[in-house]
Amino acid sequence: MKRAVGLLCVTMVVLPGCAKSGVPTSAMPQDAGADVEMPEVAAEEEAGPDVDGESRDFAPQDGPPQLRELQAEFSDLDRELAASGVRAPNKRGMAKNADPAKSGEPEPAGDTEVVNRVQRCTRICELRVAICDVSERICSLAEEHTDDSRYAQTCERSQARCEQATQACESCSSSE
Amino acid sequence: MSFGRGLGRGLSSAGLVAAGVVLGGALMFVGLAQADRLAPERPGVLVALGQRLEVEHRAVDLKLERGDVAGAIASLDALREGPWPGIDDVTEAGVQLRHDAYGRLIRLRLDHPDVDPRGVEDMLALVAEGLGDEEGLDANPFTARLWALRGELLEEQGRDDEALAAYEQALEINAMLLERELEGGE
Repeated sequence: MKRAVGLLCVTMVVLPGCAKSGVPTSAMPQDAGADVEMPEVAAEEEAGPDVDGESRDFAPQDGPPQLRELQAEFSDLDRELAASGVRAPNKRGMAKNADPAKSGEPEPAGDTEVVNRVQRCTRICELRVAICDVSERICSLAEEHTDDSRYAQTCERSQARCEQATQACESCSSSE
Repeated sequence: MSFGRGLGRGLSSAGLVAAGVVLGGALMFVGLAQADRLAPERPGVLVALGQRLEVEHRAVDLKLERGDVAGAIASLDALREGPWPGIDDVTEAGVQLRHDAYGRLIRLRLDHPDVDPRGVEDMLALVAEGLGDEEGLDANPFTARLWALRGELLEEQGRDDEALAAYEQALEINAMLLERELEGGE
């Protein structure tokens, strides 16, 4: 989910800017064992190269030479991922089969707002994980340094941050 | 304290979506530049770098799916060797990409200490290399993760004061990112 939403972020933000230049862009950091999903642009490549061997519209026209090589590798990996059952999101970050009824139909204008809310909530909840994990570390250290008030103060501060993040995550999750 | 506790996993996943927005925004400038609307110094380098990381990440995903941790680490190690363009060429987004690559590599090494083992000193050197000397970077989850990893390693060495400072750095960055999200909320 987080990767799909992240890829959506990149796709939605980057593609408009790159539309004219036709540069494919996707830069989503990854986590070991994270679900892997692919942007539609990548999925389109699964069909293989154009019959006439010409570049697609999104292929770089004047980019660094290694881009074509990377794209080929990218396509190979996409095919492997697809073969492993990895879902490919469309440009709005939803799995292609998430709502077959809407397949091929123009998406309602309200969808973007919904997606934005979901993205924001996902980011908040991811931050909660990071903040609370660091807090746990800090407070674990504080238990070993009971004679040093700095540790206790930092632990307290981190716990407050963790609580704030948890509330924000729960709040946005419940409103979805 | 052992390597590979749950924290790392959380940190490695935390804020990655936010990073997508950060990098997406940065890469948007590249797109705009190539549409002659902005003019960063070497937009193609940033695009190539972003794509290389994307490919490498996917390769690492596949290797991990197959249980090939050594291969995944080798891939990230090869990526780490660069070359990494300077901030002038690729803007801050390029630096964040570097932090991302190093962070994932170090996380993997911490989670799998028996695979191609490295000492804590070596790992700390790796963190320092990843963090580099760029200053005043905008808050982002990749840098936060590297700081937290540094804290983990320092803690492993018993350098608790320094570990605490590193954790605080990570906490502050993530707290700042959270504040931004909340301020931008409805």
